[in-house]
Amino acid sequence: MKSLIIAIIVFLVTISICTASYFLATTFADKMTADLETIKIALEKEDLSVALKFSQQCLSRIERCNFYMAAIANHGELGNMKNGLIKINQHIKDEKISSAYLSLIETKELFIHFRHSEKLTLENIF
Amino acid sequence: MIITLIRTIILYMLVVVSMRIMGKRTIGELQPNELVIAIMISDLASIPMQSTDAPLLTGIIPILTLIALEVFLSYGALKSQKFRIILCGEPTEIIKDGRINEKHMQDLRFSRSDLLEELRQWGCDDVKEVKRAVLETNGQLSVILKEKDK
Repeated sequence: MKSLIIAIIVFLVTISICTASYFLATTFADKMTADLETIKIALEKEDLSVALKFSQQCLSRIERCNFYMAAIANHGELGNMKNGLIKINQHIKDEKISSAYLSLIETKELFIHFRHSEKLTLENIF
Repeated sequence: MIITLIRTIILYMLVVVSMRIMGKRTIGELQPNELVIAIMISDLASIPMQSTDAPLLTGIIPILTLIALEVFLSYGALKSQKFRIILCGEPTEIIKDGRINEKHMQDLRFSRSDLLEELRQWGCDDVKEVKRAVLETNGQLSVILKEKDK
C-alpha cells in the first residue's frame, strides 16, 4: 500500500512537471514568435529603433528564461535560438537591414519548429 | 565532463530508488511486464547520461512514469485474477503423471531437449518419474516428482 501511495504521488508529480513544462515552453515560444514578428514589421518599415528595442527585449527574455528552458528544450536547439537573436541584434545595431531580416526569418523558424515539436498532436506522438 | 558525472550520479540514484519502489519481485524472478520495465529503465537512464545536450528531464520523466505504471499494474494484478492473467499469463502444465503434453509444448515452443535439461536440474532422469511439471509465468519449470522418487 505504501508503494502504491508513492507511485500515485510520483505519477501526479510527473503529470504536473509535464503540464508546467508544456505551458512554459509554448508561452515562451509564442512570446518570442510574436516579438520577432514585430521586429519583422519594423524592419520592413525600416524603423530601426523599434526593431532594436524588441530584439533587446527578446535577448533579455531568453537570458531570463535560460534556466527553465534548458530543462525543457534541447541545449543545442536553445543555443541556436540564442545565437540567432544575438545576430539579429547586432545586424540592427550595424543598420544592416537585409542581413537582420535574413537572420530574423531563420531564427523565427527555429521558434516555430520548437513550438510545433511541443504541441500535443497525433503527428508528434507517432 | 563534471556534468556527465553529476548526471550519472542523479540517474543512478533515480534507478536505485525506482527499483526499491517497484519492490523485491523485480530484482528476483521477472514477470514479462517487469522484464520490459527493467530493460526500458536501463536504456532510458543511459541516454541523458551520455548526451549532455538532452535535458535531464527527458530521462527522468519516462522513468518516473514507468515506475508509477509498474506499481499500478502490479497492484491491479494483485486485486484481480483476470487482470493478472492478461498481464502475466497462466502457468502451463507440461507433464502430468509422467506423460508430456505435446500440444502445450508446441504452444510454448518448448523443445523436448529444453524440458530434459530442466528436469535434470531437478535431479530427474526420466519423464516417467515426474508427477507434474508446470512452466510458471516467470519462465521457471516447477517439478513435482512421484512419491517413490522423492
